[in-house]
Amino acid sequence: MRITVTVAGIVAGALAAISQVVFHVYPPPAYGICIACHARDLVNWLVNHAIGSNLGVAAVSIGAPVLTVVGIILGAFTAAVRNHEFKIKTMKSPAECGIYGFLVMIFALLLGACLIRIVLRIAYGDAMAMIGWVAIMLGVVAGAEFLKWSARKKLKNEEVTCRDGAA
Amino acid sequence: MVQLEVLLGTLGAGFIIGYLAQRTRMCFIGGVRDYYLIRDAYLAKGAIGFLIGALIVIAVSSLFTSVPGWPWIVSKGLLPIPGAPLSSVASTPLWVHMLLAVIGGLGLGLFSVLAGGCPLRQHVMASDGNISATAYLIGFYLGAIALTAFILPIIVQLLS
Repeated sequence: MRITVTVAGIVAGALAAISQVVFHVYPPPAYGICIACHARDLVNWLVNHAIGSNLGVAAVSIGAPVLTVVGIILGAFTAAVRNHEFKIKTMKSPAECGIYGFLVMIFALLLGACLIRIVLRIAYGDAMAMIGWVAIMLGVVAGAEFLKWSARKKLKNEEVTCRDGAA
Repeated sequence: MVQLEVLLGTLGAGFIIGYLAQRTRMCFIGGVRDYYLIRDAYLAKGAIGFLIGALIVIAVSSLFTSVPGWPWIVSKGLLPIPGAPLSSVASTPLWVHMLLAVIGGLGLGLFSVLAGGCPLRQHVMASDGNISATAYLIGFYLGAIALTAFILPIIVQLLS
């Protein structure tokens, strides 16, 4: 059966709410799925237990950490292997991606949500999350314009090099 | 036991979402980006579906069981749902919440586009064997420790 992205979205949204209502991933509310916060809870919990530090985690993760990100990696890996899509590859400079990951986590935690939890918070009726969503869209527009600009610049440079080569 | 429920619940929900996201390339940042750049709504449908799915389940379960604080805007006004490090500090004024939402949102949107996908998508790409996405995840997890251990105490000090 082919899964459409709409169905995947509906199922993920339903699971996010079910996590809170059925599996008691609470408090805080609207915390069923969050990639950034759940990743933060997991690493901070591990660090706290390894070196006895006291890094903050959400109330639900104090006793035992949420394992969402582990589940996502296992699920995606299973899907990749089952469909023969697993392949070691490098798309962009790993150093550059590492820096982006670092920055994305910091800004996500300032906002208190990743891209998924912000939608979950909107579904929960959080007005501040809607302001955050508008800010995210403006950030995406700025990033997309930057990508367009840098692609154009690259194209121009290549033209110059071609002409130089011809001359 | 409640803790076991949380462990297994999040692991299972994560597994299903990871599986579906790998099959459909679901990415919320990609939804906004593709629609803005090439008017392609494929990925945006995932985000809209998520909103609908979450809304229906929350609304239906509020009929049978307690869904604390739902709908939030009615019970708590403009205050954000806790979860951000500073939103758990009760004395944080509203304008700080708003500033954090705007700064956090702008940075999250900008750097996610430059990285080529939202955090969920990066986890899925790393599971596909993508070395760049794996490097992203290392930075991502280090960022969590850096924020809670070093950056947050500075912000709290500046505010007080």
